[in-house]
Amino acid sequence: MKNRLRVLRAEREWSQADLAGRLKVSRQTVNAIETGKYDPSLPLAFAIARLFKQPIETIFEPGDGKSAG
Amino acid sequence: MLDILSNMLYSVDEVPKVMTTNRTFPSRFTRPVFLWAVAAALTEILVTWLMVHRQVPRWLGLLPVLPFMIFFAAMVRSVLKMDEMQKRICLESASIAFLLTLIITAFFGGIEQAGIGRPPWEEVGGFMMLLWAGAYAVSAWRYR
Repeated sequence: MKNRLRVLRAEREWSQADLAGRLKVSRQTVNAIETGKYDPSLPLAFAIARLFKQPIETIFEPGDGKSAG
Repeated sequence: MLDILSNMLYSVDEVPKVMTTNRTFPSRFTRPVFLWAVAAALTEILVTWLMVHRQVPRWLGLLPVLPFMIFFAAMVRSVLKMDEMQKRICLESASIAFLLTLIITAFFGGIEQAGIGRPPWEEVGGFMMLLWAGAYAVSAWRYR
């Protein structure tokens, strides 16, 4: 699954640690989501959408069907 | 007046340009789970050595159980505090360790049944812990 997390984070000039603190997850989790190695759970995806005040489908889009995790 | 105050409050709550977080992730070598694992391993080694080389009461053999129980409690606490990806890594590594331990157990059973020798059954728990640690390292590396 592709996502625009890195772009949205960069627009706000947040570091991965800043975003991780906001989402109450580890920095490694933010990094794994950004690099597409890990697909977040629905609650975390909704938390991300809420944080960036955007619909979930504008942040995450289906990739090639291969699930990262 | 109230509107101004509430605007000020909400503007503070707005997403800042540069954020700092107070959340700290201590080094894994100072975490209770690691320290208790080391304490348990050292106690086990010490007690085993004492049992072999010194005349000590038999009940001393139960001493390592205490740090192992505290280690287990610390591990459960640390897993509960993990975020979803870290929990996934733990679950993946536990599943891999479980399957590999099954294979080792079957292998030991085969050796015993074939009469080739007496496999070290008492070390199966240790093998499982080692496999879990190895699988954890691989899983963590995969998501890094």
